[in-house]
Formats: sequence, C-alpha cells, structure tokens
Amino acid sequence: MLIVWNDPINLMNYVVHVFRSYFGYPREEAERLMLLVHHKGHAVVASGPREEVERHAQAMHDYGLQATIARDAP
Amino acid sequence: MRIAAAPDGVRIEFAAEEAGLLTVLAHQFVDVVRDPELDDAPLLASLFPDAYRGDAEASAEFSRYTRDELEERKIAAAERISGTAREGLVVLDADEVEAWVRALTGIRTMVGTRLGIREDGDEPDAGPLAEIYGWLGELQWVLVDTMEGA
Repeated sequence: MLIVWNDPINLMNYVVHVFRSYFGYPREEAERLMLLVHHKGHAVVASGPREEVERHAQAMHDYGLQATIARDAP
Repeated sequence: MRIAAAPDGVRIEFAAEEAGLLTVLAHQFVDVVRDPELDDAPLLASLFPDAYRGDAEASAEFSRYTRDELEERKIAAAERISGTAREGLVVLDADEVEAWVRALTGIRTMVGTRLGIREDGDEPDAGPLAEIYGWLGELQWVLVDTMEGA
C-alpha cells in the first residue's frame, strides 16, 4: 500500500489538490485523507499490486510528497 | 504581486524583484538537483525520499529506476518558472500553473530546509530568508486555490 506522511513544507490545499488531480478522489475524500496525514502523521492513500503502487510512489515524489510503500499499514 | 484567475489559467502581476527572486531560486534548485554535492542531505532526502522505510536495498532499487526521471521532471518544472517569471504581467495556462505549483514545492523545500524547518511547528528565525519562505508559501497557496476554483 501507498502511505503519505506528514511534512512541514507542503500546504494543506496543495496536498488536497494532488490527491484530487492524481488519484481522482472527490474533494471530500481528498480532504479527509489530507486531514488524516496532517493530524495522524500519515494515511494510506492507495493500494494495489506492487508495480502500480511503485508508480504512485514515484508520482507522489514528483509532486514533492513524502510517500512510502509498505505491505502493511504502519 | 497580484494574482487573478484567467479563463484557462492565471494572470500574475510581478514586481521586478519578485520575478528576479523566483528566477534565482529556480536556478538554484536546478543546480542542487543536478549536483547534489551543492546541498545538504536533508534536502535531498526530502526531494527523493526512500520509498521503502527500513529497507535500504528495496529503496535503492526503486531509486535506481525512478531517480533520473524524477530529476528531469523536477528540473523541467523549475525551468518553467525561470522561463516565464518576469516583471509585469505573466499569464500562465492551466498546464503551466500545474508545473509552477509543483516546482514551488521543490523550491519551498529547498528554502525551508535551509531555514531548519524539519517538522510541523518549526518557526524559522525572522529574517530575509524567512520572509521569502513565507512569500513563496502565499504564492503557492493562491495558485493552488485558483486552480481548484476556490
């Protein structure tokens, strides 16, 4: 699964924008995930086969988000 | 700086020093990405994070086949800023706004790291660099809001 971690640089509206434009999440879901990242320190934002999740991780790094891949939720 | 939504993007009015600053920072960012020796490890760790926490081998493998493309895209985005920022009216289409916003994250990461911002709540010491960091955040915030139609 793909985990996005909280960081002190990225703006809240930018994180919502990334979740909306890259994953296509509706605004409400993107905001829910962003708030999870912000308050809990991380959120699982996608899951799937390893190749697909690695592609997502690369895209998140391109957007400047702190994303990691794990088999289980942290 | 004045920012307004345009039919397919945004219109920004920059003062000369604002456009100059953005251009300098975009060039610095490109230099750091091209030549990692120029900057410190925390910045590169933020720009190119380990994909597998606690698994150096898997992270290194991920890096081997993603790093070049990531570097190219980050450089290209920063060059969109240095190529378009200028004094006076700058009109960006939706595609350019997207690249600007992505590049601004990288540039803010560079400046924020230099200011010692490592976690939420870290307040940089007041000074010119902290002011620049705040200004970059405002610019990015407004661009994202404009893009999101907020």
